[in-house]
Amino acid sequence: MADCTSYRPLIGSREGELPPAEAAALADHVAGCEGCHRWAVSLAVTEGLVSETLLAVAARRDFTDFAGQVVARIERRRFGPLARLRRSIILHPWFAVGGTLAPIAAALLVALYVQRGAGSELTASSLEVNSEGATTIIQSIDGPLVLIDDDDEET
Amino acid sequence: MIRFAVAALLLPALLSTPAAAAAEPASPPQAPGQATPAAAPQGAPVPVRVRVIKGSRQGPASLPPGMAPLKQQLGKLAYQRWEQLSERDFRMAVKKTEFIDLPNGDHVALTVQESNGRNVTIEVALAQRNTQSRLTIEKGKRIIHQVTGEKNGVAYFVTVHAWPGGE
Repeated sequence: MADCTSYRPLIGSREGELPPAEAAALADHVAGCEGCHRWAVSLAVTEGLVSETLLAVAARRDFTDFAGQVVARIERRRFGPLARLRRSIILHPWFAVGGTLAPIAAALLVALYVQRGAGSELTASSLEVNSEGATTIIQSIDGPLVLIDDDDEET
Repeated sequence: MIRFAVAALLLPALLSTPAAAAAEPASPPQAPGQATPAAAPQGAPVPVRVRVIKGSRQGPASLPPGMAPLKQQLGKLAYQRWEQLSERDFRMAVKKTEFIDLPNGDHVALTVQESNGRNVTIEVALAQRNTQSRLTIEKGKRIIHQVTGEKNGVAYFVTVHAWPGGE
């Protein structure tokens, strides 16, 4: 009985899992012990049933688009609802047309802006002061302030 | 990106094709010496309001009600008491100089150098100080230019307001 307590946990071990000496001792014990033999048979039957059941369940599943489904599930986890919406818009055929026209529209706007600005070379920030003395220019929202230094002869 | 660059390069060329040039009305030939029409926005006379004001460091802070629009700009200066000495409205033709008299006997020369109807370049010249400023401002903006050095805490300024009525 003491041997059964030691050997039963080892029954059902996979091939190569136990050292050769221990595997041989287990085989000798199972061969000579009726209780452990029944245990081993029962375990083998159970494993066989489980294996058959798992195979049957697996066989019902269609794995033809397995990889595609895995990728879809990964994307669903990676991207939130907004990202999925954005992705669906980007991949939409209309967006492809818009993407082609957008650079043309942008270039047209740039060309119109450049042509419109070509006539007016004056820029409101242009300041030029020529003075013998020091001058200070202060910019404000309402326009520039120009300050000159004190007159030597006046001070 | 490449499509944008190509389009940006081609469109200005397309817009300036001979067909587009032909569609523009040809301007009539101008007789020698004939002035540019006043209706043209570029070079048209610019309405300008010029004030001579006096700023003092001494005395209680004050700004006459008529000078209230200048408060934002004048607030940047150390002078606290302001008085308006004169105000004149001009319609300044381009390149024509107007002279403003100052209380000390000197004068300021103002010249509109360039105008496109939205921006104007005004030259403020102080002959006695050999100072010349060319300032470009937008429609409705104002130049405040010190025209005398400070003496006894007092200095004089000229303000030049382009298109004061928002014309």
